[in-house]
Amino acid sequence: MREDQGLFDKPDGTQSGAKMKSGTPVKPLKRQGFWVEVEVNGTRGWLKVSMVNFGGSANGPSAIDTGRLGGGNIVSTSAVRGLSAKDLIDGKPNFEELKRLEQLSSVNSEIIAFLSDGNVTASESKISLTASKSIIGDSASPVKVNSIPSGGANNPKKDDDW
Amino acid sequence: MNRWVFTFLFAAISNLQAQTDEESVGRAGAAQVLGGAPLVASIPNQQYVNLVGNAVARHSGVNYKWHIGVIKSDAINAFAMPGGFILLSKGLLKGLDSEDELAFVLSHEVAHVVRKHHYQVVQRQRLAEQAAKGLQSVTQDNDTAKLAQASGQIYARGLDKSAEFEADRLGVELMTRAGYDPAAALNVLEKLQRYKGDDPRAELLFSTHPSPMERMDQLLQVGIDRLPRPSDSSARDQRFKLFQRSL
Repeated sequence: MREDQGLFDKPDGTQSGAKMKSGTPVKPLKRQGFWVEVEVNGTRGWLKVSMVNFGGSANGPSAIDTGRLGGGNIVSTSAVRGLSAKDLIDGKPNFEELKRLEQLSSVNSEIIAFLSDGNVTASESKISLTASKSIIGDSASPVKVNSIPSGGANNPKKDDDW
Repeated sequence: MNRWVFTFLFAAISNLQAQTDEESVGRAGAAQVLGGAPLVASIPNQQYVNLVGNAVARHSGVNYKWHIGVIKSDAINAFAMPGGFILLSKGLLKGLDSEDELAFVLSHEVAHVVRKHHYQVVQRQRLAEQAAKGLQSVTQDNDTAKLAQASGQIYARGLDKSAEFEADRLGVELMTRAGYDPAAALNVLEKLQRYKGDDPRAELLFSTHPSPMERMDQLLQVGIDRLPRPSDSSARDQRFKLFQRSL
């Protein structure tokens, strides 16, 4: 855990104020949605599932629901590894990593080959989004209902087909 | 010296100085974000996002040397820094399903840089500070640590909604010009909507951006559904799967 974490009274974000240090073992009792009830040194409270590191458990958070999860070897962890608002404001800049980032770039010949390999062909139409009304939601126009594919060979579509 | 030549040289030098300052601000901002989460080690993965990012950025009409990186973070977020720096979280990339979706994420960030959204906020802060302190040449202050801290605050607070909508709109234009499917933008927003609620990985994203539903509405209002769509994405879908598996 990157920072101390307080237990919550209820699975709704109401904090009780009981603080735990990073790495404190907790015993999971039950899960409710995104929340898990835990026992820490005889005190019960709630944590978000993502705040608990289930690395020591064989079955992960889903095992709480089935009663297969034993106690111990569960440590609290921060909600997100890095990049909380606090990290961004209070963190120290990392100039060594910046040097690595500055070495990452692409040259034109690589980009052209990459586009060709991926069958990415620049559009010949004039592409501009304007404030004109969309077909979708326009009650005067017939609405064609299409699923929006995430791409792939299993989703063949014709050009311009929405 | 001819008056026109002088005017041209003055404009060129001013532009050069602005670019240099923009890069300084961007470097400081990138260092601050990297302080929270370092880059992932895999060079091929870093090269892949740089290629997709450059593929869309080359249609922006603005020349930057782009430096794009994937950072070790479970968070669902991406950051654009002035001067051409972009950082994408591993958590965000894990949740995407295609190169076209990645192209939208990157083109949204490219749009922020091209429109100088963050740089303008820094400039406004400098002017406010200058006015408050009554000091001369605070606008030239390139103290990196100070810039890094100011950037961290901007990324924690977020931009105006209008800047986010503009980045979506221009981003969709760029990816479509490049040859990617604009519908992928709606896929990404639909995915982000799923994180809304209690998922702490997207907490910062939702506190700094309009809701995905609102963003989708804006794109539909400006006619995203009228844009041309490419027909075959199988080749790039395959390489995206390889990239994602190795993350």
